[in-house]
Amino acid sequence: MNPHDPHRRSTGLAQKALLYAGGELDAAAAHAFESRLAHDPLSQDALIEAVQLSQLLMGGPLRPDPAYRDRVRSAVLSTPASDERPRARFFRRAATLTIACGLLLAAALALPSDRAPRRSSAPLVVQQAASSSSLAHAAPTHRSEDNSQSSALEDEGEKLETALEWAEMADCGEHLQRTWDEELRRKARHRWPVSHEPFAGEGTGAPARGAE
Amino acid sequence: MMPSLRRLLPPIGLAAWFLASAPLRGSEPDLPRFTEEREAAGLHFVKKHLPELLPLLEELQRNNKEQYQHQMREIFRTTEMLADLLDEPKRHDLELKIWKAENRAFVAIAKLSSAKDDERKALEAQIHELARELVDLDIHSLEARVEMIERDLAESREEVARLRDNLDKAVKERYDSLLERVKKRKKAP
Repeated sequence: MNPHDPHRRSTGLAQKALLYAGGELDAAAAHAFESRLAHDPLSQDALIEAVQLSQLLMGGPLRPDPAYRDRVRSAVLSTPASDERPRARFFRRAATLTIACGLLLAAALALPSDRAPRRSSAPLVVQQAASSSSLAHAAPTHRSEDNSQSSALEDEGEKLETALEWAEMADCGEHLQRTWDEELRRKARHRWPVSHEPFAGEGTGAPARGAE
Repeated sequence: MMPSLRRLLPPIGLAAWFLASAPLRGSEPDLPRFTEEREAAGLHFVKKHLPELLPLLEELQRNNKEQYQHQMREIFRTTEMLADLLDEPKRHDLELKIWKAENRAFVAIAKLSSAKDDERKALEAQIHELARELVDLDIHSLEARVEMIERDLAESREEVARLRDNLDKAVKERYDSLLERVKKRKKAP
């Protein structure tokens, strides 16, 4: 149980992000997390993932679209239906507010800002959020002002997409695996030929790797 | 009820995250664990044989650590398998060439989806050339396999002939080995 284990650290961060997204952190912890959000890309990624998970749980789409935005807006601004129970209404409001905050945060991270320096490699989810149509409609002036930066972001996204596509295909080294298996069987056969038993003193040594 | 529902959201989210990542963890039982040493070995191998993969690996390392580690584990396993083939230099060289050509093709295919028209043509030509190279390597690989099987067959035939020619001696040797086994059994506590 190494406390410096990166997997363990990222799990703790994911948990904190989920708690933050669910409004479960107390004021001090929430403030600390928000301070970290301002400069720590890992926290930003974790929060985006937490919000996406919340969306998954709600059965909603992962990418925002205008219709979804309208639904969120109407859910937040309109008066509740008369037959809706207060608890359900509160829960729905909390969930939609959380999702909306997450989306706005994703947009804020992706769009240029004077206060925070731009990261050289924004995560894909942030780029997707920034390039999605709903946010583009919400901030058309930003996009027209900063075409070069958005194209740089697109380049980054393309690089990552290329890397991920290569990684997906590179998983299947079937030819080498088949040859290796064949060679292993062959070596085992040579080690213990049919006419000799391994116990006769000539066939020494453990079975080859893979037969373990 | 209402606060408890709100409290349920984070643990459910955590559970969903854990379950979502479970297939990837479960689908790679044969892969060696990721370590810095294996990463260094894998990177050395890539640098030596296919340096064009380095930018892709760097991209994964920056933006997708899990996939990066998975790929390093895959590459390390490849180096181990190739090392096991060193006894058969011809097969080793062929497999290395196939790995390189396959990965060049995968990189070209991955670039294809985001390529502009002029780049697309060059990439398609490259993929076609690599397909030709891979078929050629397949032929060589099959020839090497046939050669090896023929060699094994000849050895087995020799073994059969040797046994037939020395039947009595072989029977005596086998008899002795069986008795030896009995002796070993008695000695064992």
